[in-house]
Amino acid sequence: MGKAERASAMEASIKEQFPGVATEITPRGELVARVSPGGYLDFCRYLRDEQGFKFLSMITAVDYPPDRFELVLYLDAYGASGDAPAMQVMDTRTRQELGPRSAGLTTSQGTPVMVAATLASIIVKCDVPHDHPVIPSVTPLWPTANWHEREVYDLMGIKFEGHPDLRRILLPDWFPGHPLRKDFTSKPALREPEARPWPVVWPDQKDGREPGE
Amino acid sequence: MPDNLRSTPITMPDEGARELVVNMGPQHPSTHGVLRVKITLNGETLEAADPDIGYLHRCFEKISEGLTYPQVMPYTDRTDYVAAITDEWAYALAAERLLGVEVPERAEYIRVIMGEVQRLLSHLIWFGSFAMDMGAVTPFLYAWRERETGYDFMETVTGTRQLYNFLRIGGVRNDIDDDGWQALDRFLKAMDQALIEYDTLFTKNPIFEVRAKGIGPLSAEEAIAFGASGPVLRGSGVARDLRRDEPYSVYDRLDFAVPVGSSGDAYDRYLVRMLEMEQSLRIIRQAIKQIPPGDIQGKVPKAMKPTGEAYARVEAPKGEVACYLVGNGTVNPYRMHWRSPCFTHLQLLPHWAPGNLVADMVVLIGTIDIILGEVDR
Repeated sequence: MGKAERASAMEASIKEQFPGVATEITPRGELVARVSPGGYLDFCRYLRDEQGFKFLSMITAVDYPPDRFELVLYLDAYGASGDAPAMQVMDTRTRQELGPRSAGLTTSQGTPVMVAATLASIIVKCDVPHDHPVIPSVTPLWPTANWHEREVYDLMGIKFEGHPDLRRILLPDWFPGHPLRKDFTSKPALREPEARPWPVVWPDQKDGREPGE
Repeated sequence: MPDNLRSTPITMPDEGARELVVNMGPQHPSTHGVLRVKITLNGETLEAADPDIGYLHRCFEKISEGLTYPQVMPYTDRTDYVAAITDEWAYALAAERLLGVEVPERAEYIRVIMGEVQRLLSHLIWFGSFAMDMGAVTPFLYAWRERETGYDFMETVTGTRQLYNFLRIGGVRNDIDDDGWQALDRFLKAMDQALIEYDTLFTKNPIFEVRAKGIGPLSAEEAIAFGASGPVLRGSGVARDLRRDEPYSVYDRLDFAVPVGSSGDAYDRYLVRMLEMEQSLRIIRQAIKQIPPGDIQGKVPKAMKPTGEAYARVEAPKGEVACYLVGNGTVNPYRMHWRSPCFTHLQLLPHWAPGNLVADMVVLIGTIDIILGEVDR
């Protein structure tokens, strides 16, 4: 069973369980699912527990002014499977036994702990309204979501309910605004003296001009 | 870690004992850039670690929204600046999928050769600095010697040593000429010798074994849950390699093995990277034999105004580098998101830190092979 067939089988079972979720399949065999903010967390839990999407590749958001953000998650299901592509795997244990003369010697059909091929990929999209940008956090489901959600919060200003440590991550705490929003312009925000974390006063400044202006 | 090889860690006496919070970085030699880790200590034992990132943040994603599609390419070099080709590749792949551009075969093979040389160079830098982090200076000098021949090749082909701007949407900038092939040959010969040398010098070194074995253990399930990819994931015994798993370019025509670790500690991740270097040499040799003559640049539309979205990922030396690109019918990308493996892996530090010594922190940072340009973007 290829990736595309697996995706359409998955689409059918999602339609059955979650009739409100709109799905489509991309030409590359990825499933795209659109959920409402209300059903977002339940749907994610279902994907992880029932469909085996254990790997979260990324979380990001796109701003579509004036009314919505689109939260985007990219998930992979992988694991040992009968029809996974044949994989030549090299075990480092062999290398440890061979000792220090490895070049050209070490290829062997080892028995790895887990041969993982991508069985399916899904893109989960969820519209978050501009006037109330709050969505449940998926950090309890995938620990890796922690920093990805902090980044979305930092740069896009979407708040994640139930996140263990929702702080800015890339920008300093005092930074005004969220730069990846389409209405963000950096210049006025940082030029205004009151937006600065500390006042800049030069001892020889007489005419009120900024140094370098 | 065998107990007899380590002295008992110094801890604070109970009376009046208190935690000590220390800043490691942002200007600490072991942090490989400007990373600040706030560590909480009891004596010399770590109780918590909190990485503070963003010192190199330039909002590359926002900058891209103001550029045209081809103009983004040089900026991708600056994310992972020791493996620029693979970053360019991720962006080129995303843009090609969005635009529906075909890449000629010769260009694909040139990309594979450049990409694998880049992987070797990146792993060489990692090998040298990882050894240096643990106090071994000699491997660093050896690694730099081979790296130089590798950069000779890169310079002959692309004109620069680190930030290449070599890939184009739909192809590559220029072909590899005779000088380039000769430089590549010199590099491959040097690497064959060098890998044996590194092995003799370092792999079985008892001090290295003591420092690396059992440090930063990661089970297969944990690795997947933490979003690990690349050598960190494979070191934990999960045989996943995007080159084989989701073949892009011409990797499905090349024969190579995927090295996997078993215990998932710093030592296994070291072995995985060293074995990967051998496989990269194998891939390059096959690509040289298979490379067909022909064009190096495919047909691209004059005005690049795509609509829709694309998610493309490549197996970079550090792990899974991905680019999410949304087009809205104008010449600028509407949104561009960069998925960086180092950013994801750095979350493992707070997970690993408790109970380790301060000196192990250096090993933990080294073992995930971080590049801060990529973490902060």
